[in-house]
Amino acid sequence: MSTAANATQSRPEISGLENHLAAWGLPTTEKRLSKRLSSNMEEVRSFYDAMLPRLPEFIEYLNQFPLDAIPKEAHQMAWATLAMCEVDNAINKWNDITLDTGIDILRMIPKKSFPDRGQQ
Amino acid sequence: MGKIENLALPEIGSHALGTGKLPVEQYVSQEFFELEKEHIFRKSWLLVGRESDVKVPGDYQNFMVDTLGVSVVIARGKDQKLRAFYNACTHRGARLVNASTGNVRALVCNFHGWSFNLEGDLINVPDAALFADLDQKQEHLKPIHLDVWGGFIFINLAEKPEWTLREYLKPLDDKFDRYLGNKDWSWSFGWRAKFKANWKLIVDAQIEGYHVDMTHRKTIAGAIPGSNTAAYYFPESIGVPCGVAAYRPEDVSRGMQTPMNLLSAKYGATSIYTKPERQFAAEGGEGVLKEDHPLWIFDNYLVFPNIVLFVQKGQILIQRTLPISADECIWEVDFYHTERPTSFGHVFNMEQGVIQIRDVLSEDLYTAEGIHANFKCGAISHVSLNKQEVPLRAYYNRLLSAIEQDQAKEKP
Ligand code: FES
Ligand SMILES: [Fe+2]
Repeated sequence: MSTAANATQSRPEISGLENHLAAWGLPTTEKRLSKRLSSNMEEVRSFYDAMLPRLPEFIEYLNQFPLDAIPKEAHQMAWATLAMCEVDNAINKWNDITLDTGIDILRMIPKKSFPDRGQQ
Repeated sequence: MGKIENLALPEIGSHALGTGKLPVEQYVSQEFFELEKEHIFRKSWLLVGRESDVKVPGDYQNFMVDTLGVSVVIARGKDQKLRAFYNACTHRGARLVNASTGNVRALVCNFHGWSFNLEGDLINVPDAALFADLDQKQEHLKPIHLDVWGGFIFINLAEKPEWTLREYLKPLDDKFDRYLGNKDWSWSFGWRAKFKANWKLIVDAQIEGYHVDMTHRKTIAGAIPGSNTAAYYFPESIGVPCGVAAYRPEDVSRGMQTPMNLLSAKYGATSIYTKPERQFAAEGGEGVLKEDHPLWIFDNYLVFPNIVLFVQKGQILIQRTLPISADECIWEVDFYHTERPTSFGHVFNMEQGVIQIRDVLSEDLYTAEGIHANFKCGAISHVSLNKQEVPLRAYYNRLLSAIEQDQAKEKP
């Protein structure tokens, strides 16, 4: 198993991406969804276009650590990488921030466990 | 694998259950809903939980059957046995537990402090001498029938269930029990929501493949072509009237494979809409998983009345829909996987899969409220069904036969 100590690949260069990583490097799926919903297509597209070519390198770098040993300095990069999943459909399928042929996505409340039905 | 003859798909459906239109009263009629409550929800085996969530003695879970206003406590006893009781103190009827899960040594009523062990026996009554002739043995919690299959907890509210759970679930047999009950499964993610629609409309949306090309045109259309979603119906079954199978397209380039889908496919198999480069580990799927077919993705089964169970290699998806009234329901979807992510690549794959399925489900859920309103106002009195929609006929037939059979039993 690899650890931070024997990580072979060094941290990718991020210069030029700092603003995107700061804006989209949010720790939860829900926060990244809100970020998408409160952005316009230009903002989403500029994030997507800037990140996409760098993504394989970011993932390979992050992938060499056990999950709980990803360096703190790389968390924002990890979250911004996950935010790319959140904007994929908007860019590649809808050309729009939201899907107009589905229910309001915020009606779907994420569960925390199988029995979680919220306050009853 | 991949031999041409192996690429044959099952029949897309059948007209064997007739071709006429179906009425829609059963979705909107208050009288029909009363029949469903009495003869279906009170008599069917209902999936209410996962055994691994009630693991050690003292663990309990509280499940509300909103349809009937019945609150159920499911608890594991000191003898390791799971039991279900009405969440009702036998003194004056207060609820025993209010939290949805927990671990307790005994179930202690908050009103006057009667306490019950996890086997349901009344074990302590404060100032018992105040009662004139209390026979503590008679004050046992009211039990509910419970059984476990495939790792899932089912209850039956009938005084005496008409069928055992295993009889009920045929053709899902012991092989399914073993595969789905495998200890490797762990809960990964899920969602819930409320809908102003009859509960059966949400079920209907998952038991036919005719909708896929249109409903999902902005997400997964092409990746699972409607023509590759065959309908099953099981005329002999008590509790599993129908289901749907899904196969990939023969031409793998079909469907919109975005750069994100292709990248995530390198690291895991969470998305069912993209051919993964690595597969989930999944032990014991013989006779359950159709792995000898190179295009097979999943089979789903309607577990009557309200569960759609999707069975796949390394992934289970369960949709539960519980009516609150004829016009309102609670919808829940939950995913189980055989592997927990241990690397970022897998987390990335899971995130892509979660978001893809979330958006797809949002499309599946999009039509129910409009349909319900159209049925309710009388704009639509009948619906047409093609042979790919034969599961809806099987579901309708089972709904009526379940009510009729139970009514007939009650007649002297
Ligand atoms: S109602 Fe439970 S102790 Fe009185
Ligand atoms: Fe669908």
